[in-house]
Amino acid sequence: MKWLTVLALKLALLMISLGARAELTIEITQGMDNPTAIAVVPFAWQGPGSAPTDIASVIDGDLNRSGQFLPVSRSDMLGLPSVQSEVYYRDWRAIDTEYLVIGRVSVAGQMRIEYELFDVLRQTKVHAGVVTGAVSEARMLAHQVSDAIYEKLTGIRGAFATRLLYVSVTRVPGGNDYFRLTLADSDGARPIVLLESREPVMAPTWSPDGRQIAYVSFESSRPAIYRQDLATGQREQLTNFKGLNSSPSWSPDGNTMAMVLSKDGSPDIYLMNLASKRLTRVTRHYAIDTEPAWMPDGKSLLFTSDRGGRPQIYRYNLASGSTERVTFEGTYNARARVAQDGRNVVMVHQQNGAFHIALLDLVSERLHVLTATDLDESPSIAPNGSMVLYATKYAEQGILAAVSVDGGVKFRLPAREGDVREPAWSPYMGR
Amino acid sequence: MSSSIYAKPTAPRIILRPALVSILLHVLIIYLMTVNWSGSEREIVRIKPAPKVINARLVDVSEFRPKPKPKPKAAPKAKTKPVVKAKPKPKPKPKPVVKPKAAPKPKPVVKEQAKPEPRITEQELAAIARADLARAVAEEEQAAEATATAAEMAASYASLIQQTVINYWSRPPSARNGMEALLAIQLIPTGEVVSVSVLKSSGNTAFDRSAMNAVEKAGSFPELQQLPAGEFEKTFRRFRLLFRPEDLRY
Repeated sequence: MKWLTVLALKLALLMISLGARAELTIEITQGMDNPTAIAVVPFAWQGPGSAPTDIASVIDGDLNRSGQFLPVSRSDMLGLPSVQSEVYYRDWRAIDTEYLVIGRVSVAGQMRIEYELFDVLRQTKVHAGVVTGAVSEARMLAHQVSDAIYEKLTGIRGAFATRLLYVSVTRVPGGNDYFRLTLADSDGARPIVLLESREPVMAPTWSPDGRQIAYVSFESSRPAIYRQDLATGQREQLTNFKGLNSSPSWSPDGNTMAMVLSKDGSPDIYLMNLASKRLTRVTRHYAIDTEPAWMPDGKSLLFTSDRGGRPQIYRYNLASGSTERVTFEGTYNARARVAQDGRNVVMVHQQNGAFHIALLDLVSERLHVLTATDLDESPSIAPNGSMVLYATKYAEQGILAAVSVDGGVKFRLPAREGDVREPAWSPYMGR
Repeated sequence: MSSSIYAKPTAPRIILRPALVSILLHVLIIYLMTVNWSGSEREIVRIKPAPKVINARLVDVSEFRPKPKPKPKAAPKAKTKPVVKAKPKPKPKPKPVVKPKAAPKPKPVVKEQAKPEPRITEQELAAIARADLARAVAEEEQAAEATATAAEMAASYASLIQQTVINYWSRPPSARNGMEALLAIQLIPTGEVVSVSVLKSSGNTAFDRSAMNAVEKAGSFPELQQLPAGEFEKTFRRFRLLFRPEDLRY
């Protein structure tokens, strides 16, 4: 028996040696996914006086907010190179930096930002680029640099050079509240008020090209849907029906707008051809059908309906006219928004009496609750699908907060005056 | 009344029992036979997970064989032993006695010392080598055991490398389960990483870079210094790392 075992062993050894003369291969099937340490060195200002904008700090903030990067503090930097010849990799390796960003800013009519991205561990240049634009758009230029760096290092297009719409409400004790529709950069900076009203402003949304917006305003004493061109400020009233006019949602091709009207009885979903203004009724149900959101392929719509007794998300197929229920977990799921991949759907999900933001993966059909705060509402997903912006309450005040789609990163946007609600993240702003 | 009712069913049971027992016995015998076989197979399979080490051992055996022929020049090729033997040639005096002792790593060397002590000719060397080979084959069983421990050792160092790299691997958000990047790693005996390169790209440069940087961040595996030099050379001087995430959400 012993010799048999030995023989078997020898055979096995021989076979292994013949079959696997190759080198040892160790498989790595897990990771820790810690944020990547990146140093953004203050960009050299090649102009008179001091730099008008700290470009590096804008980039630093962008990368930090993504949660995938951990910017190195300036006080830890052992040198402040601005050209490649000044880069000493060992200085950066000493402070556990994985990537290094350096750059130079000059102004000759237009602002010009040159930047370089280095892999400290491998001691190579990963990327170099130049962005140019108006000096007044310095922050947007910095966001464009962030986008390029983010894409190089993550494989996903950056969404920093995008914008946000939100509504802020200033309470006036004893009088009418004050409503503002505001446009800001993706980091909340540079807010611009687009509309001020003593009557409610609601449901701001973007056209797919990011050039127009639509919203509901009560300025004519009853709700009406308007669209507005951002460049010209030109405004058009789209609806003025009796009853509810709400939840405008642009189709991905930009030609149609889904909306909720109650002119024929209970609130139902309608489609408006934006050229002819012709209306098509989509849902026909005695229950409330509301909050339409287009799937990115434009072939179906998600909407909220309480036709099952409690609000849940349903999907309407435009070609077949069929409706199917999408959410089954929990007793309350509402206000769906779909990521550009057509796979992740964010929504408001009630759990133990509290309202959280949840993400439903349409492929795996798994629901992930992303937030832990109690009164979360109005989720809006970044065009690259990485972050979800939502409204919540903090210290009795309505604020904007964001969470990464994996739930790992959360941050609050700087508080503004009054209650802030209904954020809408813009699509990519051209390229 | 009742006793007779109960008595009836017991009769067939008595008949059934031996039949059951015999069936069970058969099953047991078949089971034992198969278990015995699969048991011996299992032993082999169990070693399989660490083919690197077994592979390394086989190389050992093959090195024994060619030794007699290339003996004069084989010195640099093999490990400590040939070096020891090659040296005595120019000075065939008592020196070899001292040197083999200084290098007590390979067990056989110590035993052979009794023979080579007086004088060593090339023929004798060949003979010794042959005896060596014979002994190696004869001691196959012990060697198999030794292999098992060497295999365990190498496997544990491999898993140490694996765990270290896992701790440093930060995947980009574009990473998906099932992506594969195969890297070639080169170490030096201090355990330091001297080269990392992509053998097979995942097709996603951010993913490939994250894998390379995981190894670069790990930087070195100083624990490998505890490995015998031979094991290091055979298994860890060059090896591959296959990065294939399975724990991502999708």
